[in-house]
Amino acid sequence: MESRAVKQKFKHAPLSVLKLAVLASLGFAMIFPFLWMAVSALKTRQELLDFSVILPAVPQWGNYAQVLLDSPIPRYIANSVFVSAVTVAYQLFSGALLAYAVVFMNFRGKGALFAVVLGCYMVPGAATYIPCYILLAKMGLLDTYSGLIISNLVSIFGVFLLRQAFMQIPAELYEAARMDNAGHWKTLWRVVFPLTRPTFISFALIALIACYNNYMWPSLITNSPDLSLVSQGLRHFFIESGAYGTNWALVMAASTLVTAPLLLLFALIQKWFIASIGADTGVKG
Amino acid sequence: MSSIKLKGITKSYGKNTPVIKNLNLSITDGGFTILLGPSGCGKSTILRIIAGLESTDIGSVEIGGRDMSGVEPGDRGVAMVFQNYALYPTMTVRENIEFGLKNMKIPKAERDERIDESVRMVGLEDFLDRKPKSLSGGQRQRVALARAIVKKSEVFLMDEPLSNLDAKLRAQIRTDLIELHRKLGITFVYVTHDQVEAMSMGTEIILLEAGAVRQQAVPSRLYDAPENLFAARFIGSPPMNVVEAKALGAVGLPPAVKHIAFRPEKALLMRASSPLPYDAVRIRGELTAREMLGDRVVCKVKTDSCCIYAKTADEFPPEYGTVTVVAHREHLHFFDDDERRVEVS
Repeated sequence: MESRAVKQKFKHAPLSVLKLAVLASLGFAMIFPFLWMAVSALKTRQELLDFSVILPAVPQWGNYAQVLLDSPIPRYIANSVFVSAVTVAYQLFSGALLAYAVVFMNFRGKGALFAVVLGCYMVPGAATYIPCYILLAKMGLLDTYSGLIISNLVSIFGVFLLRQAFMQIPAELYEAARMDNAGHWKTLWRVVFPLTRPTFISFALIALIACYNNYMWPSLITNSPDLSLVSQGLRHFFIESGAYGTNWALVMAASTLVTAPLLLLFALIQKWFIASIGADTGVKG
Repeated sequence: MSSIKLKGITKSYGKNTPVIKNLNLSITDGGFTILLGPSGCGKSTILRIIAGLESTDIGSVEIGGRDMSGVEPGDRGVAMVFQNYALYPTMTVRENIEFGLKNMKIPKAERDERIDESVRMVGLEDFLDRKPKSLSGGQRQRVALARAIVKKSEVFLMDEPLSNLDAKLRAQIRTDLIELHRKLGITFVYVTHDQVEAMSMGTEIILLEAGAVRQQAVPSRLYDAPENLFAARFIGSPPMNVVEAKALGAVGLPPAVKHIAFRPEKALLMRASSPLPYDAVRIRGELTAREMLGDRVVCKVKTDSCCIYAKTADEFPPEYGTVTVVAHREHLHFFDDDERRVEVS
């Protein structure tokens, strides 16, 4: 038995080696730019422009210190973290309410409502820039945190994603909650939410990344550098000293620091995320 | 007081023809009433209408003399056990049972007391901290029962609660439910398509077909005196034998009688040559199959016009071949052209 298993293993060995090689090279291709960025931040200006130098002779940790202490980058990161956290919290909340209504409640015009919501999804974002700009201007919210947040309170993608997840919940569970005197609010947060937590988490992750990195819209409605999000901030930082004067090592350090929160978040959530997949639906099929 | 009255209920889904049309129903207070019928007869819909989970096109529901129009399911004073248990998977057994009580704003001390009492009734004391997914089907069903018991409702609605359990467990929970009903003394309404469950547990059976009541009676009456051919053919295993009166050439019957029926349990099998008793119908046929059930043997007899089943306690039923099926006059049931019962003196 054992020898057969071993034989089998050897028989498939070339295949798995090949598989591993392909995966490893793809993985390397993915992580290379990030590694290059992180390592380049430790180089001197000369080392950085010389492609034969892979690792710096003396790591210039001062580059990171300079970005952290003497540049507005931490401020941009804080801006991005704050704006995206608040925005995503609202998007999750509004998405959950709307998806719940569309899936579990019966009311006149439900189909039409959802069609309108989905219709909005079809409109290209760029087409809404001007009307939204005018709207924000009239509300006096240009160049404010509130403007950045309010213009993204609802994510249609989130509504759609949560609706799909809610539709997987057996109707009996919702009915059992109704028999148990639970109102809609309680049903949503005590019964529906715990069952669809993985979807909430994956949506939160996607939305956070999108919001954190958002460039076009924030740069249209904000002007003061104090309000810049990271992408915009990096650009300021980048062009500050003109194309020839750019200190690439500092740009690399700034970029690495800007990316770090997302990587950290991903590492933290992914573990949680996988653990929560495969939850039982509680209803015997 | 928790009798249930359905008045002039009509229910349709979308623009389809109604599944229930002008239904009037009265369910006795404190009884174990079974809604019995084949799939699609509307029995679950009726239960859900009583629970308030389903709206009606017209008609009203009264529970304990109170009109339930516009009353939310949770406020109707009814508890429900679902076919698929419908336990909250992310909550422990205790939390599942407690959820309704918390929503009813019952103080902690009373909640604990009630939970202890209900889990003791269903024998789940040791499972309070488990999640539903680590319980067996039977245990999950008990949690669902405890969740309903704990609310101390006046009415207990059950939608085929045993259909996902194996035969042995089903038989056991059947007797448990009878005991539970006697202990609680409240109104049970139980939906099933299984006549064995209906006959064994019910104090009253409402037999339904296509959204209409075909007979409402105590189980023995339903068995002994079916009001129509549908009831005759639905109850019993195998169901009643129905033969055309014409085919039997029976004489001395009122002209209204078109069908004659008798239970397989009352049919006797005799060798063609045996002397036949007086005042009985006899049908000659071919014995083609015998099923040994342990205490009984079911014999299938093919005649010229139909198939007849005879269930006999005889240890030595006749050999395969030509036999005569005999049914005494006193065991015969008569039905007219509209398949309704005709009393013949």
